[in-house]
Amino acid sequence: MNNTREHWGSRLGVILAVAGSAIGLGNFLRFPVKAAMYGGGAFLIPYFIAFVLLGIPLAWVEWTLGRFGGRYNHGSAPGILNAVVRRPWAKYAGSIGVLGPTLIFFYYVYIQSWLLGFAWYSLTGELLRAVYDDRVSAFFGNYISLKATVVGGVPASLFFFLLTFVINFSVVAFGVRRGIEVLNRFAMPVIVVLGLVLFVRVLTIPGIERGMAFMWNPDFSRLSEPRVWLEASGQMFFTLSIGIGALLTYASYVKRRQDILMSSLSACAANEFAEVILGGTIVIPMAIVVYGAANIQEIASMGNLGLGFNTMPVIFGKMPLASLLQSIWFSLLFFAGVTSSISVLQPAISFFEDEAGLCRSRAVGITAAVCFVMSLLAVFGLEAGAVDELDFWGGTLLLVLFGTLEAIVFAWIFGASRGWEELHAGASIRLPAFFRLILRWVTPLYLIVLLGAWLATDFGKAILLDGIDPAQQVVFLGATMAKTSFIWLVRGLLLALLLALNLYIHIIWKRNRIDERLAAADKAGVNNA
Amino acid sequence: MHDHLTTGGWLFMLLAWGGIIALNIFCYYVIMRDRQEDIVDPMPEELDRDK
Repeated sequence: MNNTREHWGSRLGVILAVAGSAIGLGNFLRFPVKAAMYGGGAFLIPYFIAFVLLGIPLAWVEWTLGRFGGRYNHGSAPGILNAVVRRPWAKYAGSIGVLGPTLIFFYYVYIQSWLLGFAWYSLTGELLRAVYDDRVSAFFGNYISLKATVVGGVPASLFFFLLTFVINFSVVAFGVRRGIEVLNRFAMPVIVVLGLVLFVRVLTIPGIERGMAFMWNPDFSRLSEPRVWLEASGQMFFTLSIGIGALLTYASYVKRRQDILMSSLSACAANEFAEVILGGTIVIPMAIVVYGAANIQEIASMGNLGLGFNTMPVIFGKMPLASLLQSIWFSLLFFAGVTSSISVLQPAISFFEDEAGLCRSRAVGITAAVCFVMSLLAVFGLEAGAVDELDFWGGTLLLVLFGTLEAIVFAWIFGASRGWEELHAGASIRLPAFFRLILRWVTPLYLIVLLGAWLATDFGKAILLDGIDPAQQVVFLGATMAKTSFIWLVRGLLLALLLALNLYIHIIWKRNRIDERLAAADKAGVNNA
Repeated sequence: MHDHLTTGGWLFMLLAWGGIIALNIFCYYVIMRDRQEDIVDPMPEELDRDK
C-alpha cells in the first residue's frame, strides 16, 4: 500500500487541473445547444439556480471528501468512501467512482482523436476543400467509417486514435505533478487564448446581433416545462465534472491545509467563463447568422458532434482565413478534450496505486491495457451504437448516481457540520451560514428528486431499448447481428467489468489489510485537526 | 422572434457575463492575495515517488 503519495506542486496548478477537467467539449457544444433549445436567456435561470444549489456545493463535497481521503493515502472512490463511511459496503459502492470515469474514457478518447484529425486536415487545407466541394458531411462520414480517409495506409481515424491514446497515457505516466499539472499549466492558457480569438472574431461578424438575440432573448414560457429544469441540472453535472469521481481523486492530492473552498470556487468560475461567455457566443450565434433562425432546430437536431464536425467547419469555411479558423476551432476542442480525458483516467490509476499498492508504471500499464481493449469497442462499434451505450452508462447514469451518493454521504453520514469544518480548514474566506443548510438538505434532496425524475422519465425507455427497431442489423468486426443483441453484449461486458472490479476490491482489501491500516492511522491521529 | 436583442436579452446577457466575470475576479484576487502563504512547499526528496 502506498504511503508516500504525490501532491500538487502549487495551488494554481490544482485549480488549473480541476478547471481543465471541467472545461471540455460540453462547454462549447452541449451548453449552447441546450440554451438555444430550452428558452435562450430564460434557460440561464434554472441553469444558475442549479449552479448555486447543485454545482458549487457538490464540487465542495468532492473536494472535501477527496482531501479527507488523501490524508489516509486513499485517492480513489472505494478508498475514500471507505475512510469516510467505515462500513464494508462503502468500498463496493465506491467502485462506480472508478468504473464511471473509466467508461467515459473508453469513448471520449476516440471522439477526442477526431478533433486531432480534423485539426490536422484543417491545417493541410483538406477540410477547406471539402467545404468548397460541399462534401463536409461525406468527409466526416468517411473519416469515422475507417474506410476512405487514410494516413500512411492506415485508416485516419485509427491513426489519430492511437496517437491520442498515446498522448493521454504519456501525460498520466508522468504523474500528477509532472504530468497532469504541467499539461494543464500549458493547455489552459492555450484554451483561453484560442477561445478569445474565436469570441472576438464572432462578435465582429456583420449581423451577429441576430444570433445573440436568438441565444439571449428570454422565453419565459419555457420555464413552466419540467424538462427545462431537468436539462439545466443535467448540464451542471456535465460541465463541472461532478459525480464522475475525477474531482475526488484530484482533491486527494492537495495538502492538508490547502484552501479547497476557494480553489473549488475558482475552478467553477473559470468553467462558467468558458461555458457561458465563450461557449455561449461562438457556436449558436454564428450558426444563426450563416444558416438563419429557421434552420437552427434542424442544426441542433444534428447533435453536438454534428454541430462541431459538420456545421462549424462550413461556417468557418465561408470566412477569410478559413483554414486558420478551422484549425483554431479544432485545436481548442482538442486541448479542452485532453485536459478532461486525463482527469477521467486518474481515478483508475490512483485506485491501482493507492488501494492495490502497485507502482505507477504498473498502474498506468494495467489501466492502459483495459482502456485500449475497451476503446476498440468504441472505434469498431461506433456505427453499431457502442458509443451511445457507453455514454448512457458512464456519462449519464453512473454520474448522477455517484453524485447523489456523495451528497448523501457528506450530508448525512460524514455529517454536514463535520464536513463544513473540514471544508473550511485552511480556507481564506468563511461561507455564509445558509450554505451549510444547502449542503445538508438542499443538495442531497435536489439530487434525489433529479435522479428520481430521470429514472421515471428516461431510464425505463433506455434500459428496454425503446425506439430501436428489433429488426435493425449492425456489423461489428465482420459479424452481422441485431442491434439490440449488440447493445446487450456491450452491457454484459460492462457488468462483467463491474463484477471483476468489485471482486478485486474484495481481494485487495483483505490482502493489503486496508481497514486495519485505517484504524492504525486513526490511532496515530492522522486526521486530528 | 426578434432580430435584435430585446431589453430582457441585454439584461440577461450582461447580468450573466457580469456575474461570471465578477466571480472570476473575486476568486483570482483572493488567490493571488494569499499566494505567498499558500504556495505549497516542494515535496521532500525522499517522499517524491517520481525520482
